[in-house]
Amino acid sequence: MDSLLFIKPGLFSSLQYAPSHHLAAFGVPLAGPMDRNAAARANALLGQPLDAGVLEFTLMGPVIKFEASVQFVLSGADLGAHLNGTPFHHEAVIRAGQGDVLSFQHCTGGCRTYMAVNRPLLPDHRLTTRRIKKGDRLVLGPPAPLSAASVVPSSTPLSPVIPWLPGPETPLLQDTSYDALFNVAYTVAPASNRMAYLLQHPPLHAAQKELLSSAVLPGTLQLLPSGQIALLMRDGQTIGGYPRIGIVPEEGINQLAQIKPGEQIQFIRSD
Amino acid sequence: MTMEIKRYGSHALLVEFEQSLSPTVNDQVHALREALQPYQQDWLQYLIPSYASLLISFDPRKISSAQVQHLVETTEAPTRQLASRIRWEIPVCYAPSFGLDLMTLTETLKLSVGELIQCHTAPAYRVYACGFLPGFPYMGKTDARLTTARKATPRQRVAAGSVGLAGNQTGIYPVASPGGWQIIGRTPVRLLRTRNAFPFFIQAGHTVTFRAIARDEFEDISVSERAGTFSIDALKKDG
Repeated sequence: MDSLLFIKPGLFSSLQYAPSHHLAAFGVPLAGPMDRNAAARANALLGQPLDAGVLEFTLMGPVIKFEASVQFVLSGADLGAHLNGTPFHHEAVIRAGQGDVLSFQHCTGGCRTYMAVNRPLLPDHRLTTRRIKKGDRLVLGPPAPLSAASVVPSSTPLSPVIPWLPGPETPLLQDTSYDALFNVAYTVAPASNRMAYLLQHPPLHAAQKELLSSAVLPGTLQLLPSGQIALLMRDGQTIGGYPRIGIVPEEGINQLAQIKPGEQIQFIRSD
Repeated sequence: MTMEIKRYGSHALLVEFEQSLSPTVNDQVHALREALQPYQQDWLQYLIPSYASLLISFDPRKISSAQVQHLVETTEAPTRQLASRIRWEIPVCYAPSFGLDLMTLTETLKLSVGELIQCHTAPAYRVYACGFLPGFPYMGKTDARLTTARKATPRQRVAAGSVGLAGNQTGIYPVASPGGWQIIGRTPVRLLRTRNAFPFFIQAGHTVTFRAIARDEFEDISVSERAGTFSIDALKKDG
C-alpha cells in the first residue's frame, strides 16, 4: 500500500484538514492547521485546494520514509529539512521516490512546518487531533488531478506583535488592567499546545461576575481566576466559563502558531 | 425578550439573552438557532448554542457583521415550543463500582443511595449545551438536594459513559477523560456513535431522562454495543 512511514514521529506531528464547522455545536474543536496561512501556501504551491489535508510538524521534525512516489512542498517554520541527507529549500516542489527518507535537523525560525503532498492524506476519522506515533503509516490516496494554479497567499510574518480585538467581556477588565494588556510582554509558557497558549505575565484583574458558560472561539483570551491568560488555539474547546477579554483574529493566530514556547509576545489593538 | 448582540472577533457575533439558567431563555436560543439554520448554505459558517447565548460565525467574504446584526434583530424567532423536542431515556447503572463518588456523596448530601438515585432519575433534564468534550451534554437543573461542588482535585481519568454531578448540573462523559465532576453511575450506551456517519445523537435543546438499571442489564447492553447490534432508537421517547 502506498504510504508514508514515520520512522520517528518528531515532537508533535499531526494530520490537519480544513476546520470542522459542522460539528462545533457538538463540542468538537474546529481544529485545522495552527498556521492556516502556511498550510494554504504549501497547498497552493503544489496546485492543490488551499484547505487540502496537510501534515503539521512542531519544532523537531519527524523522519519519514516514502513508500510511494510523491511530490511535496514544505512551508512555514524552517526545521532544517533534508532529503536522503541533502538539504533542500522550502516552498519548492520536491519529488521523492520509493525508499527516500525525509529528515530534519533543527529549527532555525518559527515553530510549525507544513507538508502538502500531491496524493490525498486519507482522513483520520477521529474527532480531535491525533498525534502521529513512531511506526505509524499514513496511507496515500490515488494522485488527485491537478487543479488550476491557486493564488499563493503571502507568508505569515514572523512577528511577536499580535493583533487584538475586544471580546465579549473586555468591559469587565479593570482600567489599569486594560491599559496593562497592551503594555506588558507575555511569555508563552512551556505547557502551551494546540489547545491553548498559557501566557506568563503580571496578573490582570476583572470585575467579579458569575458567568454562564458560553461559546469560545480560537484566538480567545480567557482570563483565568489566577489573573493569567489562556489563549485558545485551534484545538480549543468550544464552550467556556471564563471572561473572554479579547480575541486574536485569524492572521494573528497564524502568527502565534510560529511562536515557540519561551518566546515573548505583545498585543496591539487592531479594532 | 432581552437580547444583546456583541462583536466577537472579525467573523462572529455573540447574541446574549437574559443571563439566567432557565428553559425559557434556552428556548429563545434554540428558536433563533432554528431560524438561522437555512443560511448554512450561504454565509453562515456555524452556530454554537449555549445556556443563554448563541454564537454566530459568518463568512466575512459573503456578509458584513452589520448585515448579520440587522438580520438577527429583524428575525422572527417565535418562542414557541421547539419542533425538535426530542427526549432520550438513558439507562444508568448506579453501582458503587461505577459511581465512584456515590458513597461519599450520600454522606455529604445526607441521602440514602435509593434517595439519591430517585432524585437523579425523577426530572426530565434540558440539554443546555454540548461542549467541554465532543458530545458532552451539560444538563440541568438537578434536584436541589443533589447540588454539589466539583471535586477539589480532578480525577486523572474518568471512564467513558460516566454520569456526573457538578453544581446544579448533570452530565455524561462521552469518552474517557480527566474530569472533576462527582461520578454517580455509568451508562453502557455509547454517546459517540462512531459507526454512524454523524456520531452524535444527544443535541443541545433535547431532553434527557435517566433510568436506573441493574448490573445485568448494564452487561447486556454493553454486549450488544460491542457487537454493534444496539440501536439508539430504543432510547427515543415521545415528549
